[in-house]
Amino acid sequence: MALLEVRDLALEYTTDRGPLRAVDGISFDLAEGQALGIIGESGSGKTSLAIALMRLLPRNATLVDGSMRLGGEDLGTLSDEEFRVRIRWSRMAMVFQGAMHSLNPVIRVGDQVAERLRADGMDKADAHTRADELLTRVGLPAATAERYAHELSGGMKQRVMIASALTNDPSLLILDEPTSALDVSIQAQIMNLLKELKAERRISMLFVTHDLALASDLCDSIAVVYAGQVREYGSAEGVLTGAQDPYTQRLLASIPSLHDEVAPDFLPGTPPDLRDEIAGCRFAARCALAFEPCDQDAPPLREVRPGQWSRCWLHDPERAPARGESAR
Amino acid sequence: MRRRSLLRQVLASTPGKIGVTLALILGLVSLFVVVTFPLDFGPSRWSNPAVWADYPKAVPPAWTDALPGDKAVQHQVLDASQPTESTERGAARVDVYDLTLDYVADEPPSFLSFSLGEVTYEERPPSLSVTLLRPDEATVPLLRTTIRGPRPGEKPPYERHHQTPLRVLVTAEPETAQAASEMLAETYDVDIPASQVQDDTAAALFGAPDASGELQPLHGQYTVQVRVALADPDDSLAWVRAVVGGTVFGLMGTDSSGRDLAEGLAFGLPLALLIGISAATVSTFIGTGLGMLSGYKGGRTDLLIQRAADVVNNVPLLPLLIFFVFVFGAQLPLILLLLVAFSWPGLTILVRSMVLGLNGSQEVEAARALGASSRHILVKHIFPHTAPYVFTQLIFFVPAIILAEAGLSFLGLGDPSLPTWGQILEDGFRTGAVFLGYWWWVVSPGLLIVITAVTFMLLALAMEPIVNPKLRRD
Amino acid sequence: MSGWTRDDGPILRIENVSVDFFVRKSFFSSRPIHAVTKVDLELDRGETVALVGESGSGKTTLGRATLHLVPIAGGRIVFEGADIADLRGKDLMSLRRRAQVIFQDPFSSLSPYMRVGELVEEPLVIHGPKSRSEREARVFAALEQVKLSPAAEFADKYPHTLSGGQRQRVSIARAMVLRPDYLVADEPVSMIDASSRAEILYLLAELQEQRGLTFLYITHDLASARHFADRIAVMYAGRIVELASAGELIEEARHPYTKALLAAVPEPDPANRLRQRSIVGGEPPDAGDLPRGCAFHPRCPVAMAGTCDVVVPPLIKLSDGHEVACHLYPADGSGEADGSAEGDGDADAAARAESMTSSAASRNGSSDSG
Repeated sequence: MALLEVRDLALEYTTDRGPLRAVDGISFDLAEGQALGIIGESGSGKTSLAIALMRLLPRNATLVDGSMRLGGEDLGTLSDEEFRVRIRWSRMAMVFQGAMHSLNPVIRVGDQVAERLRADGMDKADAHTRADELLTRVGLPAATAERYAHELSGGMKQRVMIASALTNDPSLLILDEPTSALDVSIQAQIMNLLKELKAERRISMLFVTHDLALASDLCDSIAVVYAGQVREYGSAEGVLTGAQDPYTQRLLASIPSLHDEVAPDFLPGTPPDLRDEIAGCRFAARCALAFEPCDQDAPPLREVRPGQWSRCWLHDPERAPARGESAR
Repeated sequence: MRRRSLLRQVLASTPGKIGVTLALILGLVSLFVVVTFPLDFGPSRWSNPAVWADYPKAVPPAWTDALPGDKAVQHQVLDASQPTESTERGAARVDVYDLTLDYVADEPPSFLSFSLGEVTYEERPPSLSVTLLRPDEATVPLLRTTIRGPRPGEKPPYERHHQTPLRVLVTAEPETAQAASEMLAETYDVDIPASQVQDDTAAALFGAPDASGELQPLHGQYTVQVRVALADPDDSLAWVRAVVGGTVFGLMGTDSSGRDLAEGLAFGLPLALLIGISAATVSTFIGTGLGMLSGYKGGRTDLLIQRAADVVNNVPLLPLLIFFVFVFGAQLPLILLLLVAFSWPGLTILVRSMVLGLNGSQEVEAARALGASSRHILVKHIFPHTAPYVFTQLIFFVPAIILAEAGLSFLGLGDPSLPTWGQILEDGFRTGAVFLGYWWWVVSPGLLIVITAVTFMLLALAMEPIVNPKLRRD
Repeated sequence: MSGWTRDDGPILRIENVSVDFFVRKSFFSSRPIHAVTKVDLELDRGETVALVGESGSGKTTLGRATLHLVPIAGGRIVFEGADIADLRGKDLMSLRRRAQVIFQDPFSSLSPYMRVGELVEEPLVIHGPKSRSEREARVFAALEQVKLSPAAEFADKYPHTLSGGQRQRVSIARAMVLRPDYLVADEPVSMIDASSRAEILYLLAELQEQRGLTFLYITHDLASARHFADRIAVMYAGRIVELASAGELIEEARHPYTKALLAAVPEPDPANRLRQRSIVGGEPPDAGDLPRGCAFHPRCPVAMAGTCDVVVPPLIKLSDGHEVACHLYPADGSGEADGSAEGDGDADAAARAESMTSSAASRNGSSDSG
């Protein structure tokens, strides 16, 4: 049984132009001690998915379908209070996008890390000891707990946020673009840290990002999200070296290669407006491989090869164009 | 921002709809007043007692008559310029004017007055007698007098009462009370001494004693008959008038000087709007201008303006105003000047901090990279970002100024010749309107101030999401 | 000094340029922040030079300096034969017209109160022509050029209704409408979705070919620099530490920092997750408090005590255009600053490098497999 099981999750935002289904039927499993990458670009729904798991959705968003099970327990059956006490920041914690900007400028960093512990009743000395431990574990020098946020660099602040998320030893850590504002070398340091933590503590991680290459640095499995749906889902090996979905393939081709002379590719156009009704495949408008069923029928997610799913008519033996095997 | 779509967006929200409707009403009424009222309404009419002589004093609005209770006396002005009857006796003649009215109220009129105007005679001054003819056939002599004779050195034709009419407040004259007392004794065989009648002469003139001797209103047709004896065929009299003072009057009643509050309050509307909008605009202009200068130039200019703002901000306005009014007298332009002079710092400080932030923005840097001049940057790249706040501030300022002026007037620091709402309120309080129960004198101006302030607040509320593009709906 | 010479030399010459900012330390004193220190760089007409670096490298500041947007503390910048620090009035306006910039954030550099047409027209309003119809024609042409078609339709829109990529095109159109000769592209695609980035860069390359533009491409992304730049200059703590043609810098990096940067760039290899990335620990230094000698030495795995922490390595020219500033490659052994410390022979240097590796790596809490 996987640590986290998400089935057919759907959530809607209310806007003045009608409901926006930002997440439309996303399912995935996350095993213990494993990392899953949720890859998507702006507007794909990946951040909404992450905050939905933490039950931190804004007031104009509602979960309209689906279930989330953590360690076998259906999270939907819990009241808000129960969720807050037992799940959020205890069994499941999150490092938000731009989290380092949410550090309180007038409180010492150590106090902020100890905050949840104190709220849960731990006495001051113990909480601070634990905070110090965590700060050291994430690679910060000894006296960091005494510092204020503005005295720390971006990378250091992000480490503080990770330490803060680990206070109650969660079994699941959700990370939403944790390195987006950081320098490349600092980013690599943080990724190394996350790899260590994953191995050492057997924490499962949900890594939300737009950067496929970065995801490869941590994730054991990858789900590629586009317009609120999963388009490709499988192991890191399967998705990165043998991508089945045209969108994933284009995404990979868009990454400029450091050592390869091949010039990077790009995807023209923009993702569809989810407030409009879309008949057919949501990627069809931008897909170079689109053929006749693509505009009319929405393809389902199908297992293309063992352990790898793709949402594309090219893999349907009955519908695929007469071209022999689908490419790659 | 296109203006048409701006209006459309304002109207889209509920506060916008209400605000715009109210603003339209206020605007139209103001326009009407400005067009129909004389510009010197204050001194020439409002503060001129002669105008209000024949108005009932301190009576509630006419529509209160519709409420359950005693039927009130409607204020009636009976004019006649042609005699009903004219009897000639040779060169002389007697003109009889009949001014009739139907009395159906449950209370006596507040007063009865008689006036005439424009008498011309050749030789002998005309004489006149005014009598009240009652429905019970009793009569009361009201006035017997002769027009003033020629003065030494004066040549005919003699003109009397051409500028100022002859006016007699009949119900105030002791002779009338005496005559009424005698009439009652004669007609009803009751003995009510003149001194007692004098307390409410109108009740006696228009009433009859009941079984217990109390005077009750006598309904029916009354006639004020004016007999004028003129000696010469060329002698003339332009008009006669009897005014039966009502116990209610007009849309908003009258104050203790008889002034029609509807007129005063109506004039107060464009006045309030003028005061509010002009002072608010000037203040906003100064505040924004100084704030932008301060934030953009920095350095010494900034320091100077900020220190000035600090000083001005900390000056206690009210004592200063009292001092100025004491020294220079209460004049509206002075008061407005002071209000403006002390209200700009808030906006300056706000705008400056916004400009400081904007100065470092990429948008401004991009404009600099294009080679834009300081003026161009301020106008196109800095001001538009401050505009939402500035504009909303302006709209909020208007009611603030109106309230400030009203408050000042209320404290007695206002300009007494101008009927601003605050001034009318102050008159009322000073006269003790609250204690005497003259609610219409106090409620109306108060309500109008509130409605006007609310109109602007609603407009500001509706404007806010519109001028801020991040909150825009498109 | 007016007079733009169009010699066949480089369009832009950055000669020994330093840029300092001052931060108030107390009421009486302020300390200097050396954002850029003694940079030499030349840009030939029609080429793209990438300035690559992390925070505090000074790349953005240097870019702005070439546009006369920040004052220069030392050295000079010569654009089309004229020292830009001397330019005033009309000549300065001429510089503005010929040297333009594209910013990183396409949203915050465009006024939300102006329509696309007005935004692209603005440079023309400032520099002329006076005729409205002529300006409009040029605006439409610029919009078509960046493939925002139909131009009339896009001209009427507000920026917040466009996607990030479209907004960036508006910025490009705005820069291009003046027909500049030199363009500073400051992280032009880092705020755009990864799958749309190449499109913008290809557009810029196309414009370059059509117009003979010279680009200064400022970025932290080495991989895109490889594909879109002719030469790459790596900056660290305000200095250029390595300069070479794009392919050569990537394949034959010399400077330890360049190598560290290259090692830190993730490629989509599923095997990455199974091993720790070999990187340098620590963070780029505070520009107001630079280490003595080579600014990279506290983090450098091969730093040589007595040399790297004392003397600032000069930028040396190696084979055909490859320049590097590192004591591992001394040309004549002389460097800057105090002390007469000379570089030792290569063998000794390597020996020291060995012993320094572990101690440098264990500093600053990096997790480094060495």
